[in-house]
Order: sequence, then C-alpha cells, then structure tokens
Amino acid sequence: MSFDRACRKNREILPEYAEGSLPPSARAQVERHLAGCLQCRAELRDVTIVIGALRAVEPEPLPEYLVPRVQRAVHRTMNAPTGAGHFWARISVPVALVTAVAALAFILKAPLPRSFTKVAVPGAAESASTTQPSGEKPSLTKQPGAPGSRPGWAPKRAAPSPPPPFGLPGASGGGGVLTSPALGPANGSKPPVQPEEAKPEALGQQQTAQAGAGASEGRAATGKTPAPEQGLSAPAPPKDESVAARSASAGLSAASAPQAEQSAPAVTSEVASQAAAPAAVGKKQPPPLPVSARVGLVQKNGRSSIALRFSATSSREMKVTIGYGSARRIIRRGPGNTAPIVLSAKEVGAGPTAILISVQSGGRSRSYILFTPTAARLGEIAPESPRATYAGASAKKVLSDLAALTGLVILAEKPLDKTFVGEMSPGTPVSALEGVSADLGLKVQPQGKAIYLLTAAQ
Amino acid sequence: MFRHIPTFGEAQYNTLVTGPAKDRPIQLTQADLAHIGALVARAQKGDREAFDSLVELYAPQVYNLALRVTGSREEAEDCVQDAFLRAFCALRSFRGEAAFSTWLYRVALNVATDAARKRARNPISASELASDDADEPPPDLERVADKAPTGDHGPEVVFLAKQRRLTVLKAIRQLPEHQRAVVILYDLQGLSYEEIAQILRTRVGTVKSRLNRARLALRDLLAADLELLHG
Repeated sequence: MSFDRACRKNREILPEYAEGSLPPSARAQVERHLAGCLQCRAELRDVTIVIGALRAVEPEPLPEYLVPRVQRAVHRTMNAPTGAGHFWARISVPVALVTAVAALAFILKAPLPRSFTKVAVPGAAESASTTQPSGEKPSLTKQPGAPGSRPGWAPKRAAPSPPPPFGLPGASGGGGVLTSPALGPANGSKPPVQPEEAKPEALGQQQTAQAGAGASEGRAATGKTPAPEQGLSAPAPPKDESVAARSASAGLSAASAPQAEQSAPAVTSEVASQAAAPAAVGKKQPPPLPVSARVGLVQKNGRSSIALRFSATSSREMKVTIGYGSARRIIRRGPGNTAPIVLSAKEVGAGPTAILISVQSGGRSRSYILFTPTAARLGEIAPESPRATYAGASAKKVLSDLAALTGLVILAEKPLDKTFVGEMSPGTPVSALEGVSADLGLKVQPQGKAIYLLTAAQ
Repeated sequence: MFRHIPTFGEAQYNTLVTGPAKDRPIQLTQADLAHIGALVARAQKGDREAFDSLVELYAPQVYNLALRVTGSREEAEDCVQDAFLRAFCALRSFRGEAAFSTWLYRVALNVATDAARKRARNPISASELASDDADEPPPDLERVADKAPTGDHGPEVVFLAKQRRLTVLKAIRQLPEHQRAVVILYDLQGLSYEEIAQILRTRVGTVKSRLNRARLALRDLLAADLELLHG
C-alpha cells in the first residue's frame, strides 16, 4: 500500500477514530499509521476540534407558544371529517362549505393594474403590529358637527403642531378624538363611551384564538350540510366562472346555490388589485408579490361574515398566514395561481379587529391588514361618520377607528406607515374613507356594500 | 508538505478522542417506552390528549432538528407544525416497526429538508419578508446563536462561544443535504447510528461513511476557523 493510499484510507475513518467508535482492530491500524504520519496526526487534531465544536452546539429552547400552536393546528385537523385526499385538502375540508359560499359570492372582477411603490414616510416606527397596543383610544363625545365644514376628511399633515382638537386632551399624544353623531344621541344625555369594541389592540390574540376556536364552531355549523371534500381540493375554476359552476365544483346543494346567487350581487363584489413589476424598492428586498385580493361579505342564515380570497401570479406554492408573533399561524397553503386561497368567514373571524394577513409565494410576500367592525355591524354602514381629530395617529389607528365606528370593512395593503394629523368632519363614512385614503396615498376600491380595498396609489 | 503542529505531539492524539456522542435527548426507561407506546396507541384511536402529550414530548427535538436543517427559526416553527400535522394524518399507518420517535424524526426531516430546499431556491426568504410584516425580528442565525444558553461566563467567553456556534452552524448549512442530515442527527441531536439508519432508511455503514465524509468536509470548510473553534 502506497503512502498516499494509506493516508487516504486512514483519513476516511479518522473521524470515527477521533470519536472512539472504531472497533479495536481498525483502531490499532489507525494508531500504527498515525505514529508515523505527521499529516494524518494534524488531520486528526483538526477533526477532533470539529467534532468538539459540533457537540458544543446546544439545543435551542422551544418557543413557549409553539406547542399550543401545534396542538391547536392538530385539533383543527382532528375535528375535520376524515377521508382520503391530499393532506392539505383534508385540513381545508372543515371550512369547505363556508369557503364554497364565499366563492359563490365573488362574481365581479375588475383587475386594476398598478405599479407598487414603497411609501417611505416618517412614522414607520409606529408601524408596530396592527394588533399591538397603540395607546390611542378614541373617546367618544357628543359634539355637534361643525356647521359648514366639509364632510369627510380634512387633512392637516403639513401642520407642524396641530391645534388642540376642541380643547380636548390627547392632541399631542397622537390620539384621536371622535365624535359620532351616528353613534350617540345628540342631546348629550349619553356619557362619553369608550368604544371597547373599537380597540384594535389585544384583539390580535383574541382574534386568532377566536379563529382557532371558531374553526371548530364553523365545522359544527356547517356539519349539517357537509360539503364533499372536493370543495377545496378540486382545481379551482377560472376567476370569471359562473356562480353556478362554482357551486357545482364546491359541491353545494342545488337548493342553496340559487339562494347564494341571489344574495351575492347584493352583498358582495370583488376588485382585484394587480401589482405590476415593482420599482426599485431596496437593495435586498425583492419586489412585493403580485396578489389579487378580494374581500366580500357572505350572508348565511341572516348573519353576515367576511371572506377573503387571494390569488398570486406566482405558480409556486402560496402560503397565507394570519396574525403575528406568537399568534401567527399558517392558514392556507396551495398553488399560487391555479387555486385561489379563500379564507372563510370563520377563519377571518368576527370584528372588530385589525388583523395581519400575509401572503407569501416564491420568496416574495405581500401583507394586508383587515379592519372590521363588530360582527353585528357587518354590512351595515353608519349614516354618518364620527367627528375625529388626530394629531399624528398611525394610519392603522385611523382606519381601525373608521371601520369600528362606521361599519366599513377595510382591507388595506401594507405598508401603512404614514401618520396623520387631521380632522374628520361628520359626513358619509365613504367620504371619510376617501379623505383618509387620499392623505395616506392609498387608492380606494369599492368591493361591495361597506367593503373597501385600499391599495397603494400610483 | 507537512505542517508543523507544535501543540500536538505523538503522545497527545490518544487523549483527543472525544468519547461517545452527546447525551441522548431523552433517556428513556422501559416504563417511558411503554408509556409512549400507550400514548401512540391512544392517539391512533383519535385521543386528542394523547397526541397533545406526544407533541409536548417531541416538539423540542423536532424543533431543533428543523432549526438546524433550515437555519431559520420561523421556518423551523412552521416545520414543527407541518411535521406534527403530517404525523397525525399518517398516524394510522404507523405500525410500530420502528420507534415512534424514529418515525417522527423521519417525517420531520422530510418536512425540514423540503423547507430548506425552498429556502435555498429563494435566498431572500419568505421568513425574512414576513419579519417586516409581523414586526418580528428576522430569525437569522445570529439570533439563534444569541438564544443559546450562555451560563455564568464573562462577556468574552460568551462572545467566543457565540462566534463558534455561528461558525459551526454556517458550515453545517454548506454541507450537501445527505451529509448535513447525518451530522445534525448524530452530533447535534445525539441519535445513534442505528436510529439514523432507520430514519434515513439506509444501512448503518452508509450512515458512518456519510458522517465521516461530512466531518471531513466540515474540517475543510472550517479550516480557517480551527483556532477559534479550538479556543
């Protein structure tokens, strides 16, 4: 055996030798070689160091929230009807019926191509998650609307130090002061109300928990009319396919399909926002994922709920997550452009809340925040928007207030990193939203009655 | 050309033998095994609590396996969820031919490997993007290393230990897939050759051979950092 060959052979088992797991015969052979080979001894030293370094890598502690998160996910699957089919299809089955109804509801489609530009405006620091406490709680007082003031939004962003709004505290803290003719009696007999239901803060966790628990409720509710599994696992029909075809593919009964068809035009619509190739946003950041997002209301048994639907132009797997931080969870996976991902009403949950929804595919992502009013107000738009004055409130705060107090459902595309200094006079909720959006640089796209999609304006 | 190794004489190489692999993650007694077997049997019949117990029991190992394979904490969390969901869905097909942990490790490794492949195809990963949206710090290796236990050491020791971990983890990520899996399972997770062979559905000899090659490859990858690692 030549010297090189002996070294090569020795080298192959050197790590085992260093670890002490070689059988005695092989071990003796290695030691004989090592005694006369300086190079292999150096190799042994190096390998020993490497093995020691590998074993010094300690396991990382498990995040506390992970086990409950996994257990919740498993419970959802446990509650799902069993049957053959693809793994994800089985997971999706529990909400098949609700999803099918949601799919029925989307009948309009109006893609609006636009190019996405990242809004770089001070206030990004305020962009703590939508469900984090913002410290800005609206206080409702019953002040009559200023006579002669323009209904809607009166932005005052240029004002370096905004005037104190109606002499009420909170102007410097960026809080909003809302006065809602629509929400309280005009005679002032009602004391100021803290709209608990209007708080976006801390609702993220609640919301997610609701969604998690709600999934099983949804199954219970829909269990009476079980939908075949192909409701979601079947290839999705083209976007412009008829409602009837959708109901067929979703396995709905013939009786329920016409009913949904009837109600759909009244309560839902959809607008697709196509994000074109992005501008140069950053060096490392890839362009945002082009996503077609739709939001609609689903009416069933006299109750309204929200359904969302996302389609990506990427053919890769698309993942939709909901919530953030420890409450973040994957809600759907599926092909990006062949089968739109539909979030059922139960998954989206009932408001009021501001919930982060992230769509990821092919290494790119796009995020939205869904602002919703209370469940009871879904589909019911207030006759008049509240009076509000904001002194540097975050966009999320303003949109959240608007949704909670007027009944609007708003799906806003991130980033929402602008801040507001401005006043909203009583007017229609839509005019208020348009004013807000104009100031935010967002484009308002109506999706149906009281439903709006906000996308970045060109 | 031979290198001069001043700190390593002939008499020393025997003392460098590192001994057996690190402690097993779970030292199981017969009673433990029986308990786990009972849990699996109950879970197979749809017992939610039993599967919850299995999740609690094995989540740390599955998480660390996924973390080392993917290199991303967020990705690892998703992998844990996926792995247990897949395990749950396939639980009826588990017939006890191998230990439940082995079977679960196989599922988890497949999930994590798939995730790592996707991550490799998309260098700027979804998790990094999501970090902006979710207001979470990016789950990169640096943070992973930061979270490792430090003990009561001075800042320099902690810093060096962190540098060593980072260096090693980075090198592991550069290994070919099959070598990386063996190194993670054996050196980081502390599994035996036999268990790894069962997980990878291969022979023990193949596992040993891959492990040796992986360590030699690591030695080459870490050639410039050996002094740091030797510390």
